[in-house]
Amino acid sequence: MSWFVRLSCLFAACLICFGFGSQYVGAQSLPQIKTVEQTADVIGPPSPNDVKELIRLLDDKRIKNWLEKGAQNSEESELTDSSAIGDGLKAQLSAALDRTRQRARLLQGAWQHISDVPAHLAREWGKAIKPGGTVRSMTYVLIFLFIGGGLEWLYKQYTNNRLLRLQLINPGSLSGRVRAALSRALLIFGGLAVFTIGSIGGFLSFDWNPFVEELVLILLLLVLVLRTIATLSMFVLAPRVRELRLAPFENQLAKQFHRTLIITLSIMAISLAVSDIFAELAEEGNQQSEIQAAAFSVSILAGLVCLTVALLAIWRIAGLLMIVSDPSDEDGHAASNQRVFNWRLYLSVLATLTFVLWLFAATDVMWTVLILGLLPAVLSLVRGWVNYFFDESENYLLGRNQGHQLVAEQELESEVTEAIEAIEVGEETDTIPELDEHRPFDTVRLVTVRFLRFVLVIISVLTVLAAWATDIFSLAESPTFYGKVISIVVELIVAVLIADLIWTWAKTSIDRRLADYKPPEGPQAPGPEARMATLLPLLRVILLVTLVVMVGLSVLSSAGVNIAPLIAGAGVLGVAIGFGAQSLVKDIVSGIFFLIDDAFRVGEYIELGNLRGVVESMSVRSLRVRHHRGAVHTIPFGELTSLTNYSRDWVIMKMEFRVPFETDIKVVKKLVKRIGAEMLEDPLYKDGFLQPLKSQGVRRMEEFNMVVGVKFMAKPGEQWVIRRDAYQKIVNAFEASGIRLAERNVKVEVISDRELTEDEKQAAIGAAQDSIEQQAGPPHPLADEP
Amino acid sequence: MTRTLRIVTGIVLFVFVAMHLLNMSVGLVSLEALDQARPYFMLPWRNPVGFIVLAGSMLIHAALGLVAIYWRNTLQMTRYDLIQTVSALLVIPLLASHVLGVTLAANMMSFEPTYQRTLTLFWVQSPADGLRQVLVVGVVWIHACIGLFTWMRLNTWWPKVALVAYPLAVIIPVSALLGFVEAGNQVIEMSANATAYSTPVSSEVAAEQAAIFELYNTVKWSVISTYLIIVAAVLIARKIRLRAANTGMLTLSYLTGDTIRTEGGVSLLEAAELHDLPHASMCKGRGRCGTCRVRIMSSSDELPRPSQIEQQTLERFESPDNVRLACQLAPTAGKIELERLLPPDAGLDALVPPSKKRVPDLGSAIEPAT
Ligand code: FES
Repeated sequence: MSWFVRLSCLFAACLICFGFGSQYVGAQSLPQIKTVEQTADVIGPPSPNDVKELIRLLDDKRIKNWLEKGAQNSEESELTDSSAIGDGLKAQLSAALDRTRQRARLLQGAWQHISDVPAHLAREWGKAIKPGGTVRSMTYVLIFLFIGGGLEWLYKQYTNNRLLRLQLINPGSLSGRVRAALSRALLIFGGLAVFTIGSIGGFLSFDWNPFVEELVLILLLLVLVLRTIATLSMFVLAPRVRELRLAPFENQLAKQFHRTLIITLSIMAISLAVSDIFAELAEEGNQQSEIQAAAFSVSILAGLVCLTVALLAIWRIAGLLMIVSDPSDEDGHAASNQRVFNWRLYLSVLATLTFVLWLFAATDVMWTVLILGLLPAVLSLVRGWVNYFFDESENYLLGRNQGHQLVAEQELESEVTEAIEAIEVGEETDTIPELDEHRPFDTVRLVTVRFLRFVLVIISVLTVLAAWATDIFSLAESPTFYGKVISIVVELIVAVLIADLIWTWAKTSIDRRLADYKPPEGPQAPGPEARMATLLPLLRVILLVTLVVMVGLSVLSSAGVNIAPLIAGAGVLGVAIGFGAQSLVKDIVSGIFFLIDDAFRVGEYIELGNLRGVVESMSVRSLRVRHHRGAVHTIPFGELTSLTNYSRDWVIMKMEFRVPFETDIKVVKKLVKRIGAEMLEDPLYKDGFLQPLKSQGVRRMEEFNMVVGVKFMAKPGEQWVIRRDAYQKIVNAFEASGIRLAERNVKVEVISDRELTEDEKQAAIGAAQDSIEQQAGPPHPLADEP
Repeated sequence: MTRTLRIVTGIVLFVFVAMHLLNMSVGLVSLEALDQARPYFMLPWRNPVGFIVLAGSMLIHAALGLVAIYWRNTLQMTRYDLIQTVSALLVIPLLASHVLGVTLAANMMSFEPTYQRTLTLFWVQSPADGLRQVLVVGVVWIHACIGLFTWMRLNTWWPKVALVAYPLAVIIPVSALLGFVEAGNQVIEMSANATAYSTPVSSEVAAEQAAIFELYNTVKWSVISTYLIIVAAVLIARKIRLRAANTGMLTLSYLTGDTIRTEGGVSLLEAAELHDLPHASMCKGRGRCGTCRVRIMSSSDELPRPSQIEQQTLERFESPDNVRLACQLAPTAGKIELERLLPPDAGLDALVPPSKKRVPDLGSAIEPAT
């Protein structure tokens, strides 16, 4: 087991504890303060007549107008007020100090009256609830829980089989596992929904005394919250079904983890619910300070319980994670334990600090500390989790591709260890893990991590701001100094994070493609990647510049600098450059399109208008083609209109043999066939052939002979060698089997009975010479017919 | 024999509880309706025969349960067994006061235990008793339904019956509890109005009532303590029985690769479930369904002989010698290699013995459990 995974779980646990606890704590602290303020001026309710009068007045048009105007005025004056920076700051500070002082007084009061607390509460309780009411509320809770439970049981009877099947299939791949876990969670949540409807719905369908209603509702909600948490924890940890687990734990650990989590959160929730009930009671009661103090001591007690339980949970989980370390590797073990230890300390201090801050009512400071303190923990947890997920999927893909059929157990274990190693690597260096084809998800992984980080940072910034100012958005809108600063900071962060996200994605994918590109060795033609390799770095720089400029501009604009002239200036410049570099731009752009069309590659034989040759190299702007006689042409892409590529896919070669009319075509066919078979066997040519050598029979008749056609189909570039050797072999074979190739001959017929003398023969030949030459004539190209 | 007895007595008790709860659910209409309906629902049980059958069933069922506990090898059990055992043990202490109170009131005081009176007791005078009633309804109903459904599930008619049985199993207690709340609200209101002008009870009546209340209390506590003593005695007797059979560690290796190490004496089925290894068990370890069959590949120690129940079930499936029922086989120690014969989600047709698989009429193919 790796320290990291264990750590991440530690964080998860604490997160939930804290998030939950602090929320309650925060909620708790507010009513306290509010109620204290309320004690100062207790005014009885208005008489019915007064109310009637008020309603009549409110209906009056004039009064309405006047009220509206007043509201506007006050708004305006508020705005002008708050623009006085120094005053606002001072006022806020003193208010915070006041609050703390008040809280301290309250604390002191609570401490002094600590012995009377139970008596006070009991008295107040007796007032709020009729005799027997407490037990009766419990009866109600029990009844409605039972009803909810019964309905859920019914729901389960119909879904159980599906659930069982979900737990029995072995999804194998991670996505399958996530899907199965999700559907299981969905099924369970369906049950929870039924339970809620049954219990809370059933309860609310009766009429109750308000305090009883509050009490029973709080208790029912408590049960519901706990069950939801348990379901969520089950979704991730799946303590009983290893196949559905989304965290790298063994059964035992998952179970203990789950249990610790549930127990901790139950205790917290119960203590907070109790303190909530008493706060409710204090509000019900007639606002006496003793009751307030008593309820406050209860809430302090609850806070203490929460803190203790949170600390215990942190230590217990850290202990769990330390125990399972792998003893085989001593160093890593010690290091991981050290890390768990550090985090444990950190989180404990954070929890204590949060509690102390809450105790002194410094709510905003508490929130800031809590959120900023938790952020690193959450971030590394999320990173670990994302890495784990992607590693799992990669390993699954790998395992499937290589056809490794391991026993399920082993597979899971090795997956986990590999994943953990990978996580460790990823964590320590925080760079892109080495790029090779075994990691199909690298880009996605990095982008996901960045994206989640982005979201988390935004959320925490917003939450911190919300803790400081109740309505952050209206503050950001307002033209005060704070509003300005806040809006600039928020915009800056958002812009930088978005730019970072885009940049990470683009950079990793570009780098990945570049790393994937291997220049071809030997005669093999390089693919379109070759040109990509020249274009991508350019693209990367352009993107970087664009992003930086955009972020800069958006920050400037949010800071109030007028960026319109800048843009206009850049526009003018752009137009000027655009005109000047028109043809350059044309070259580059059309080059990109030729690339996309995959019209040619380096090493291919092409024809451009009247230029021919092998593509030798490409630059961003132009193409270099070498003619087979050595001349090199450089052609800008913009000049290319049409292009013929001779090196694509296949080539058909035709050969012709002239044989005398009396030749037996069957023999010729047989010979060609035999040679075709031979050449197909020959290791020298067999890779070049796409279709073997075939005789096409007589192609046409000529004056003194007939033309026999032979053809074959080959890969581009291979055809020349094959043709050469085919000619030779066929001619040899013809000779061996007595087939003569036709030769041009001129018969001179002399109509005479007598033997001609030598001289006369010469004369006759001489007379025919003309026609011989005429016939031979200049050689004309063969008609290229199929 | 014991199984039939357990089922029959269980059904009698179930019918009684169901009728009582149905009666309670009339409370949703009104308090008066509740009391008017009472004689009809209680008709079968108010005569001596009915009463004896009911009381006898109660005693026999409880005794059978205690005997079963005595014979258990470990107290580690499956969730199902745990629920059944705990709920069964809870019933008597929770229910004693109600049953005794009503019986005593009816038989000794000639004081009709009407719903109005009882509910006033539960909601106004002693709310803790009301709480206990709700608890006992839950406990009894869960116990009854689990037992009944496991028994019924082995029959071919079950899928059809289940359509009605599942919703009924929820509707009956839910409406009873809602009736309890509704009628309780009425009672609370009435008593709030009544306290203002209630007539004082004469001292003689008060004294008589106090005496009867005392009697009721002593009877109640003696019943509960006797019960507790009996349970304790059973547990102690079991301990003594187990002293003789010494158990060691048991290692189970399944063909799928899972390995379980556990303390000896648990049945193979319990061991599997306690270690989260899914295992088919339609009758929840009663030795009737045969879905938990395992094939024993090898065993380091000699295995206990199959009991009569196991023998019968195995014969029904014409299983070879090395096939056993996981729910019945409880080795004390050793290493066993085994294989589960049926998938954990085995359905109804897993109940059909292979020799009868081709018989077209499934219904007649299943032999009634013996
Ligand atoms: S579980 Fe039914 S026979 Fe074993």
